[in-house]
Amino acid sequence: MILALGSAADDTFLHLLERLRAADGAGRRVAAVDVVHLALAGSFRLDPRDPASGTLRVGDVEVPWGEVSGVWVRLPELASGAPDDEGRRLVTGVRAALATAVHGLRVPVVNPPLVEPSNASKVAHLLSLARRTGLAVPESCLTDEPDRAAAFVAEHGGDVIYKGASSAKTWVRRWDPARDPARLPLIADTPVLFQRRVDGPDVRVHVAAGDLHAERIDCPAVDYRLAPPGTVFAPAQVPERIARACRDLSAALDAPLLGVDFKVEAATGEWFLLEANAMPCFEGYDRRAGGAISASLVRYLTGAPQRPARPGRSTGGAD
Amino acid sequence: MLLLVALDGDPWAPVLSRVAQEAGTEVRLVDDLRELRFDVRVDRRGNPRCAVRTVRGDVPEGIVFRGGTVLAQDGGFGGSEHLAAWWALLAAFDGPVVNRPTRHGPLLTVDRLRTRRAAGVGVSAWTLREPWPAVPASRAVPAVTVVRRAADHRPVAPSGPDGCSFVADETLEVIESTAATVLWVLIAGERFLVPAGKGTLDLPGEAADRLRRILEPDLPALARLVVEFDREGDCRVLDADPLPGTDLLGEAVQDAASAVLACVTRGAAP
Repeated sequence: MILALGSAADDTFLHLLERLRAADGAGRRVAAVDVVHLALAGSFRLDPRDPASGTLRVGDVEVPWGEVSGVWVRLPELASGAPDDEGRRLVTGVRAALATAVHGLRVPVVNPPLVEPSNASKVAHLLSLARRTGLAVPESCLTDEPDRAAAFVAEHGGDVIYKGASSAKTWVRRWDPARDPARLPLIADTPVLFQRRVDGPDVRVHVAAGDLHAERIDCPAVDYRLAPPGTVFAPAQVPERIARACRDLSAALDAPLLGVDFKVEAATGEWFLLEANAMPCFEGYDRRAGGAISASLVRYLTGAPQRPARPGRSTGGAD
Repeated sequence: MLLLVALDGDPWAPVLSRVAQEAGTEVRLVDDLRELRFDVRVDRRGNPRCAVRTVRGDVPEGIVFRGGTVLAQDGGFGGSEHLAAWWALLAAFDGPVVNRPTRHGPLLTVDRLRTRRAAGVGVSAWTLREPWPAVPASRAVPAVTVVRRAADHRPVAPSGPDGCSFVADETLEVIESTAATVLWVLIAGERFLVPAGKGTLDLPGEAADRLRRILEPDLPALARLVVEFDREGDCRVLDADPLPGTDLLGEAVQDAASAVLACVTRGAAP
């Protein structure tokens, strides 16, 4: 049995759930559990020393832990949506327990939660990634001092972007010399992360159970998530050194699914590592790749035999 | 100057301040990132460079981070940004830091040890609205049972007809030990202290070395562990509290504070 633990309000969770259900031919039943529903109205007991002794129950779903052969789990922050303190405590408790407990199950898990908590701090994350991979990263400055921020901007001739320092979603903005110098004093209350702008396309590499799926994004905006008209998504070739680093990172983090973001400098061809996300929203990339990412994950979770990669989809290892 | 980052009411802050000042070290106590001016630079090879000073212009030579800061406790956007900045600053600071974050997180917890699958870490179990069996048929009767809320790790007293079997309307974490000996151990700098009477004793070197191996690379300079020891002398960590109080230390609190500060003043903090 494949256990899917997540939120019914999370498109990424539902995307792979749908693929897992469609792959019923692999002979595995899929049990889907909404974590908030579990917290408010379900029950479970899980003792990793003796998984067969416990069962998870919610609604008409019953999951004996001993029959679980694979887990698809996404546990985003859900407690803030609860209507009161009691609800927040219930959801926080279930989330904390499951995030730790699934590490004790000896079955394939996509992804064991909390394996890369450092991306709650973009700079700490960048330091960790650079140390682990040896890959280049964009020159960065996190500061609450307007003078130091201005000095960093000047060092890079004004060709700088800025964004938030945490994993909270912020839009990347390009430094605007007409508007931004007057706003610099605001950073004294909340520090801001400045980075040299790497002029060139973005590349998102997904490692999925050891398979590599890469997409290049050419976008007229500084933040391609805005996807303005003229944005072009296309399968990408990944240099061998980058492919190896991505696979090594996925293995080292114990994250079978890893979304790794790069910028490729147009003038030099150099790859700059931005982020490695162990809980990526990958469904858009997967759809454009014809389901190749989810197919890798379904194989991993169901133990189905590997099928030959379709030409043009196995994008790792080219130099 | 030593920067001591702690919220008002932190039990270690006055002890650490006093011991540091008695040793001739100036201390600045802050509880808000806005009391500092800093920048953290990263070059293209990922090498950090960090400059930090207080708003009064004092430059710290070492930092003791006790976890709590005013805005970082706010669950909103500002809190996330301040916590992220603290994490970056402490990771990049080139002087000694007590509670320097690793890639596994800013503070050591037993969950962090579990998620990195560290060897020598005890197993927990969890239950939500399901009865916890009084005596599991498959295992020895536990000598120690700790029950706490999964949401915040606050201990709760098991309730049930015989005081052992229990069921609750929230997720509980159950830690059981069948070992002959379960002790709490305070890591204070390079010392591993266990309570003894009004004071403490140092854990024997071999046991301390075992604990060091379990905790590496997350060995903290100040934390409280709950550790079980079997008859062969092997040990497992059952729990780790990165922000321990001073309550069980008695008169040994001064020695413990000195040991913590020795890390900062010697530059030997992990």
